[in-house]
Amino acid sequence: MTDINFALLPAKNRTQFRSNVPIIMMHGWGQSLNSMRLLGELLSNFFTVYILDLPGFGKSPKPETDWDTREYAVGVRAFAESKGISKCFLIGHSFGGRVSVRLASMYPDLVAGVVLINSGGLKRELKFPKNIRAKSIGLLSKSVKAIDSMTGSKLFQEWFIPKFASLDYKNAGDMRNILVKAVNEDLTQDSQLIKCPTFILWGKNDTETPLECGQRFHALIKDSQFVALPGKDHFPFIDEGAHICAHYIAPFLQSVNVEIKQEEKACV
Amino acid sequence: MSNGHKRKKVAVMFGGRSVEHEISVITGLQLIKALDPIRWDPYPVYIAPSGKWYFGKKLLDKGFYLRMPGSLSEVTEVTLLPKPGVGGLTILENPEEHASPVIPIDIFLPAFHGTYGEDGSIQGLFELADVTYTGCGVLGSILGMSKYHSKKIVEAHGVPVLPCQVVNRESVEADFGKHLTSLRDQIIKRLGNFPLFVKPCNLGSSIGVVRATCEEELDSALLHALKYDVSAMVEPCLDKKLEINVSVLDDPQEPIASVVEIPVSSSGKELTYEDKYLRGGSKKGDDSMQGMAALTRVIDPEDLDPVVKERARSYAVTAFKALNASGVSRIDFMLDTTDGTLYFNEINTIPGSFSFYLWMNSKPPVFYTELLNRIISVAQLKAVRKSSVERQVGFKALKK
Repeated sequence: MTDINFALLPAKNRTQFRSNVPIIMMHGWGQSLNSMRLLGELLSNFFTVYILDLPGFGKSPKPETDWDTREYAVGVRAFAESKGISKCFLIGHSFGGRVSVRLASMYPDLVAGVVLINSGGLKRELKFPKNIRAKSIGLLSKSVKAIDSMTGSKLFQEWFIPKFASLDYKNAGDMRNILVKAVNEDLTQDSQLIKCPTFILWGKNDTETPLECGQRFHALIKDSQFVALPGKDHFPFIDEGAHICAHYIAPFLQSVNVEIKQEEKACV
Repeated sequence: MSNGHKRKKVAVMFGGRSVEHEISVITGLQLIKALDPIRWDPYPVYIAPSGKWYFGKKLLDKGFYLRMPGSLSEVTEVTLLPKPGVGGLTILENPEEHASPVIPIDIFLPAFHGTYGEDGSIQGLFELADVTYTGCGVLGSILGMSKYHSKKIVEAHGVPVLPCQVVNRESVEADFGKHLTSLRDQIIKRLGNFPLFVKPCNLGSSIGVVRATCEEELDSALLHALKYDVSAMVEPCLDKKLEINVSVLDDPQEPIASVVEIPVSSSGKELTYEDKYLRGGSKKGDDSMQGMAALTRVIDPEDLDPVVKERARSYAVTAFKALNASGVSRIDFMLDTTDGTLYFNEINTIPGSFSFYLWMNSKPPVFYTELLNRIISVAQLKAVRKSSVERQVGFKALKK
């Protein structure tokens, strides 16, 4: 099992509502638990909150092999088990949203509710001419790699990446293969398998995972709730935006009628 | 969940002709980030130190203020005309280039600190323009700004205050040749021995506040305070004291009080402007916090006597009501730890960061977004009530 670094924010005794179902929060690509700390602190008024450094990010070591998001889900489940958590809520942002979708579809008994914030997992619908450009770049990438393997040149590394690769790809370092696996996944089927209450929160001005991805998640996940925030981007929970997110997320989680029974009580 | 209803346009106003200008910019920008974008459409309105008003999305970028005055050409100069029915902000610069000469606004939300923004001046303009605005009205703002008058009114409602002596600039100017001797004698006779506190009568953020331990220091402290205001206030300095702050939020039924906080100064003495706004970010290494939200503080301290906490909260609500406050205020007290007496110190009718850090830790917690929802809702309710007041009786006396 890979070690997962985390921040534990115990539920504060500030309100009559105090759930014994904890929240596990998962950040986006290239981020760490710190990006979600303020939102976690606000939610800890009602819930015990675990904010994770997903393996390979923050202070958590990289997995020994190049994981896909299924393996991330297995890793997070093992983390939950190690903490005695038999039931939890998930909050996932971007890449953390992908892992949340996997967890909710693979382990329905563990996941009592899901919050997706500008989540990844669905392929962007590109319209002309962007779709032509994306296909051309894909073809070019394969051709350049083929040339490199035949001639021993380093065209892909020295020319293609600086010119065409995304910022995440350029900065991924030894996490690059994991990134490639993640962005090539499509979680349409997993989304349809989610049966627990799901809340989808989306910054409307997101250019990385555009609004239409959120709308498709909403259509795919049965009985999901969807809130699009005007003026907010891919990170709606940054700074004081955390208060807006908490303002919508807390009542949703409080409305989920779930309680851990005494015999299966989690360490919260 | 439906996102379909029409959002109300909220002019968030900040900056202003005040020594607390910069702090107001921080409060305004923080507030816009926390405003519920489903219900409210924020319109940033900046009043430059010159007194000119500007509108534009570029005001949302903190870098804009560091590029001033050049950056002012990137935004539109506007104003609020003092007549009812205009419907928003009037564009002053090349109005013919805009689709309409007026930017429609539903609600004005002042986030100023200090002179002209928190003291009733702009509230007077809102009244003349007959627009919906948040926070205190003219009376509450004026009373709240004057440390002397607020003390007198709160004292009349049974809340203890320390004695004080007001010194006007003209009396110092007239007495200057005599080295302030007679004035000094008056002060010491009334307030007792040193140390004494000297502060501007109508200012916040600890600007101009000095602790005087001897006659020479009192002279210079008075001159220093009068640099920022036309009147200064002198108070005795408690030997063993603790500052306790509480926020009060307006409610259609009864105002409610937040948890208490004990702000912590870097020196172990009185809080300074530097403590409040420049030290910041000490909370768990989070350097994203700015303004009053970044001050080092102990919220709802466990070792503070619950009786004192409850008394502070009760006095705070009494002061809020007595001073005709509205919206959200922060009321600062001084606890004499030798005998447990709690003294009202001052009210901030537009507190730094709107005191959201106290509300998010209250029981039950109120997130900043909800705090702003409530402040705006109360303003809308008050505007409806006010609209039913008869203002005209027609021309009768002239016809007689």
